[in-house]
Amino acid sequence: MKLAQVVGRVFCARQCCGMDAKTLLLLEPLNWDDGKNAGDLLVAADCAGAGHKEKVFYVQSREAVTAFRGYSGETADGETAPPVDAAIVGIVDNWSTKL
Amino acid sequence: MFIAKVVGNVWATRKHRSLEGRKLMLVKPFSPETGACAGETTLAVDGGTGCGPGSVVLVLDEGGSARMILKDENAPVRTLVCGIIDSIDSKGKAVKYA
Repeated sequence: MKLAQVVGRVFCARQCCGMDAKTLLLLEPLNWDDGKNAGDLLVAADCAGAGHKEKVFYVQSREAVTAFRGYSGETADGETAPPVDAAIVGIVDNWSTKL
Repeated sequence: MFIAKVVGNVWATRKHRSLEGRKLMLVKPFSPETGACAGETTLAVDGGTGCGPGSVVLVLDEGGSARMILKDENAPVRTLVCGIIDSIDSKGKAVKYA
């Protein structure tokens, strides 16, 4: 799980099936050591209700789909999970690195 | 699995439901030969080992087994601390970690 900061939001009028109910946030990846930029922007589906300029941590690839499956309130059990490859799973209150 | 050193932890109140009640540690890959940390720090969920900053741990890097340990098939977890390392015996040299 990597650290990122929400820098924007993405709206798509037409998108693949199953992705319509998800808010897509624009993320700027940061690294955990000093909070500096660590890569170019990416779009992630939101599972934790993150707002603008908040520091979040996100998962990628298979775990992103798992985050939406089951009881996360966004996907009913009958529906299939959305085809996303990055999902925000938590909002960071604070983090500390000692070494 | 890879060997890593816990360098810190993360506090997050609003997070995915299956992460609630879990400690979130920051781990950095650790090489026993040089005894130094190298590589990218990443967040690993503590699988109940009770590790703290400074301890050398064993980190699992695959989602399926992580969900098996957490006994929760909806947990979006890939890196998980699954053990605290006492000593490493590599190339005939044994190093103890308190």
